[in-house]
Amino acid sequence: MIGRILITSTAGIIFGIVQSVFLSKIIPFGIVPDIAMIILIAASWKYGSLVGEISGFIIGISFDALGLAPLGFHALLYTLIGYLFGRMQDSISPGPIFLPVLAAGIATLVKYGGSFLVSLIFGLNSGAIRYFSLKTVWELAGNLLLAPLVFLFVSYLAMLFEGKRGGFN
Amino acid sequence: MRERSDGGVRPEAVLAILLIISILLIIFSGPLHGKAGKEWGSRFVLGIQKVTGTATENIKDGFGSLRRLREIRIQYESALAKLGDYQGLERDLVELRRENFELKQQLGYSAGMDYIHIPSRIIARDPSNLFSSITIDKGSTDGLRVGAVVTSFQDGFFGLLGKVITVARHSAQIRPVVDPDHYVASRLQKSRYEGLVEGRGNEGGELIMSYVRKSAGPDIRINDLVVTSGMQSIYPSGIVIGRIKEIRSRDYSTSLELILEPIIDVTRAEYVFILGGDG
Repeated sequence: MIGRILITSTAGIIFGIVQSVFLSKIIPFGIVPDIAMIILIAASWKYGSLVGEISGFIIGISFDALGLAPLGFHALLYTLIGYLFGRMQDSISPGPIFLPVLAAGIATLVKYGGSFLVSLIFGLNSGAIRYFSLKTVWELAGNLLLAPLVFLFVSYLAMLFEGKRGGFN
Repeated sequence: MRERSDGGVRPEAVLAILLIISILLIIFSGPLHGKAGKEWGSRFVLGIQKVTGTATENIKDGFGSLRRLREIRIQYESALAKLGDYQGLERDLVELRRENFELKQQLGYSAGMDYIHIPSRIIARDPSNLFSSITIDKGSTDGLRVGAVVTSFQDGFFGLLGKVITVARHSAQIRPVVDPDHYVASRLQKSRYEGLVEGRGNEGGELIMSYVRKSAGPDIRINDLVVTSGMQSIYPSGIVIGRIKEIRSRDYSTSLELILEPIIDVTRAEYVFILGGDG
């Protein structure tokens, strides 16, 4: 299990840095798809709630360190997302396209809805957080488009590591 | 059914613990003012971001060099043709410079505008799209300190972009002027009325200038420039902040509200100048 958490968290943090450093420069207005979040939901779906929530917490903390968010803000959101999608592990297989796209859409809405609620509950300056704007729609579109590819990537990554090491749990 | 390997740990229990930790962190790191609590983490991750950002820029520079070389050659030929025309203008320019210098001295601005500045490059933005932070490739080793003023040059204007909020050894984080937690003492460049500019954090990246006397209304026009006043502020005077887009006057209020369009579009900025560094 520790291996799965490490792989998911490392992949999430690497893609978090890639989307903040590289993608933000090549995509207009710097609105980038949240690949780290899609990696998190794909891994949570594959490995369950425990791996999802712990990986989500680690990825979230790294996002908090990268931006203006108070420490714990993204950690809380991504922990919840990891747990929620981890619950899907035993119920249904994600398949190649439809369910990954749907999952990315729901996760994006949870992220923005959650950020609204967190800012409301903790009295954060709501103007500092971008939610429910045209840029949100752009991010949603990017997440939906990339979801099948990222799910495929996570499956490949899992196969690569588990195949070579006989599993990293 | 897939194999579960959670070692008998209940995910709900771990979830509760992680949520409590997150909530405590939010409470103790303070609303959007990440202070000491997050600095150790920021410095570490900013370091990784710096390495990635520098590598990305080097690759980008490599590919861009050939294209730029071709462009420079075309520009050189064009510049050569125009050189003759500009030689005639040189004499006028010298005279204008002298006049400008004298006027600045009279207004007491010349000292205020002689800033020590550190040029820097934007290497990263907020990874989750939820906040407006920017990371640059200069840090404490380059003389940067928390609170330093960040400016940029865009479309012929040298304007305010934000201030430094976290400094690592080789990188730093900036809070842009469009952020709602950013306040700047300001004045209208033409009519000299004072006010306080803050970000609105909205889609258009607008700013709002409050506490402008209502009697100033007739002297204020759309597109008038707003600059830093330098009054009891970390910001030196005379840096352009934005342009008036809308003037709002409410019956119940004793002051005007001016909606400004920032002179520097944060989403387009690539290079910045940090004023007042140690260097």
